[in-house]
Amino acid sequence: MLNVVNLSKTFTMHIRGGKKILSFKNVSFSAAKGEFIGVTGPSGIGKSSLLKCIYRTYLPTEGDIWYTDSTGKEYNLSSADDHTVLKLRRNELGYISQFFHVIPRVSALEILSGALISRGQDRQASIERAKELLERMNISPSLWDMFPSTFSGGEKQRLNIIHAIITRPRLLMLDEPTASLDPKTRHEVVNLILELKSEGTAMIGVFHDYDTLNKLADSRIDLKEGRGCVYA
Amino acid sequence: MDCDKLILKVNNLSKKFGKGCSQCEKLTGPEHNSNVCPKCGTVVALQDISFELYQGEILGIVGESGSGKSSLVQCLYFDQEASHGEAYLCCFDNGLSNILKAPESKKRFIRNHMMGMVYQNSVRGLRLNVTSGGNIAEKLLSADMFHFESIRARGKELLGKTEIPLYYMDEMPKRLSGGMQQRVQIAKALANNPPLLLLDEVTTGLDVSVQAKVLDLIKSLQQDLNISMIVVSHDLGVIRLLTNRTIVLKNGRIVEKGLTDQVLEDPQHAYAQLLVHSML
Amino acid sequence: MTFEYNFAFIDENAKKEIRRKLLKAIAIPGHQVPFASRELPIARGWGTGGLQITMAIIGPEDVLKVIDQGCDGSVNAVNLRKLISKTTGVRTTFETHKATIIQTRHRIPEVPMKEGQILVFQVPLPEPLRLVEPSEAETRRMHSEKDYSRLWVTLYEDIVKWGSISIGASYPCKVNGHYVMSPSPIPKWDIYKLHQSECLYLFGAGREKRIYAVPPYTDVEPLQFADKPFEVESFEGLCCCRCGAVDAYLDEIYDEETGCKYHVCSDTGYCDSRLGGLERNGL
Repeated sequence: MLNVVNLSKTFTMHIRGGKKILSFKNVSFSAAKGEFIGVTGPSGIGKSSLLKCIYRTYLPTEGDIWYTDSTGKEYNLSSADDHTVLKLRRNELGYISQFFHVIPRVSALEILSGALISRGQDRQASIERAKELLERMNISPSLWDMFPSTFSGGEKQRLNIIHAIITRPRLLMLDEPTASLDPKTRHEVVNLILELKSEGTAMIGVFHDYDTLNKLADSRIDLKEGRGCVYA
Repeated sequence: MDCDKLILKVNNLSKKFGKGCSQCEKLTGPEHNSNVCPKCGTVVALQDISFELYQGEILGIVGESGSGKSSLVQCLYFDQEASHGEAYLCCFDNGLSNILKAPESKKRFIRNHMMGMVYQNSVRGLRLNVTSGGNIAEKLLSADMFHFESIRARGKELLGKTEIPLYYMDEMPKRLSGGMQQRVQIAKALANNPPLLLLDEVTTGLDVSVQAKVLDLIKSLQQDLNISMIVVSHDLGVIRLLTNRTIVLKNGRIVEKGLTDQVLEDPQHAYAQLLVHSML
Repeated sequence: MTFEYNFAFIDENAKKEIRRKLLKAIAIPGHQVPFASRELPIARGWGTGGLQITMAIIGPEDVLKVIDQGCDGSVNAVNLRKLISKTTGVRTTFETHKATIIQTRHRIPEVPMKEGQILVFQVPLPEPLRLVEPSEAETRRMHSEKDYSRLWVTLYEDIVKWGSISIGASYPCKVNGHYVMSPSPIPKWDIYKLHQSECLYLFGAGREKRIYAVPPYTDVEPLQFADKPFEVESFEGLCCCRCGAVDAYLDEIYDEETGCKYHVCSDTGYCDSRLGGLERNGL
């Protein structure tokens, strides 16, 4: 489903006199349906950048990201036009960041159900599904109608996770989604991810917590100074 | 919902103020940090602007003052006449005719039926001496809706949508606050259900709480009506909140275009980097 | 010492120019055609537009009637009639059906006009859009593109403010499905007489230098909302105190001595002919 070939990312800082900063270089790997690829390596090595390149928040400098969509059509995400990327994001790609960009002045329930409704799903069913996931993530019903900007860090992060998985993406990037969670919720998140995985979602994940990673990952890429190696 | 439907396609749009010379295009632009031709003094407000806009998409246009942001939407709304270039609107002649070269009467039809415009300064978008309802009525009347009670009903519906208390319907906008005026402008712009809405610095100059309300309104309208929008703003926060894709203009040229998160997090062009890093 | 004036006062070249403009105006019903308004021995704003049209079209065989607010005897009407008849020698009449050319200010005669008759209006403000748009260039554009939404908005605002459209005279009309025209300040009562009429209507605005026309058998419809129909003045329960007419436009007259109000036909020719008829019948 996903085939990354010789992907490199270098930042050119024009406002610092054109200084170039290498993020990662020549990373190649592939992910099949239902496969979880763990990305490991010391901080600053470009793990998040790799995920962002695949999601196209960053523009890759070199290399290809071949993605086959649900209809069997193949796209190169490193060069696909913006409209195509937006469409794939809407329908097939998911991304859970370390930080949650809260949509201001929209309630938690609306944010989550809205993600489904905007994809044309039934309103009531969307709300039910959102409630179900909020419950599983141990978010108190008293918070459902509140603005997430008032939530604690852990609550925001759980919302972030629900937001990404509620649409059942085919390819999901996870950037340390469990970092700020208590063990009980972390356990629940891992179960949710496994559930999604069993439904066929391919995932690329960055986890500092090796216990969690070991539970989830089918294979690992270890990023080292300037390049990535694949471990079975 | 058909997200693959192309609403607007703009090819090589240019706008020059002045008679122009053969050197204008070469001697202006971001690399010269100027849009004034040193040979003939012509102001190259826009040069070779091309982009597409799809159904339900919000396109952001950012850039410093004088970069041509407003000129761009004003050329598309025929407030200014484009010097060169083509623009195709899906609902006009099936997207086969260049609207920039359409006869004046057709342009007026396009303005009234297929586009809505919201200006930074509501004096431009509203008649301040005509009631809010009358302002909306003007758009409906220009679309040949001559049933008084239907006009009233549609006016009420639009004011409701833009969260304006109904007792302001028969009040003149000059008696309303700035935020309220902007919402009346939006209601007027939406009157004929246009597939394309142009928003030119709509929240600039409003205080933050009012600004938030107007932004929320725009976002919810976009979700409810699946309308395509072009949002001009110098405020990257507004761009981040509202848009899917962004164009960065500098000296009348596109220096960067991409997904909004990409433009904000990984800008490629020197000016775009400067802009993003200037964010407070 | 006597002065030799040209027939109908103005020179033949000037008349030709006016006739050319009239032909254009008739060819484009309701469209305002600019013309070179001449100096006349009466001041602009006193009917010079109508006067120039009358002088340009009148011939020795014509029979002339001049009215002001329906009245043959008011000062303005008398002066104009005298000027025209003195410089042309044409016969004049007070009776509508006998006239070939009627010059009028603010009224259309009650007796329906027939084919071959011409009604010439004196127009103070020819531009119905001037109210909403000060720029001439812009109003011309609006006319050419049938862009009348702002005029409609004033009607909308009227209904919102007053419950009905408050325009008394000079009610804007759409001519032949395109141009909106000011019918000069005739009362709403007279508007329907413009529609599909047998006679030719010519409009002259001397100060504003505009000529326009409604040819015979042309559609003229007052602007109206589908659910707020146009209504003419109602004189229900009233009649003319002279001739007893109940089907004519009535002027209200206030008697200061008695403090009474009574009504009289605005069209004096109509009133007089009815009286003559009544007298003949021994009443």
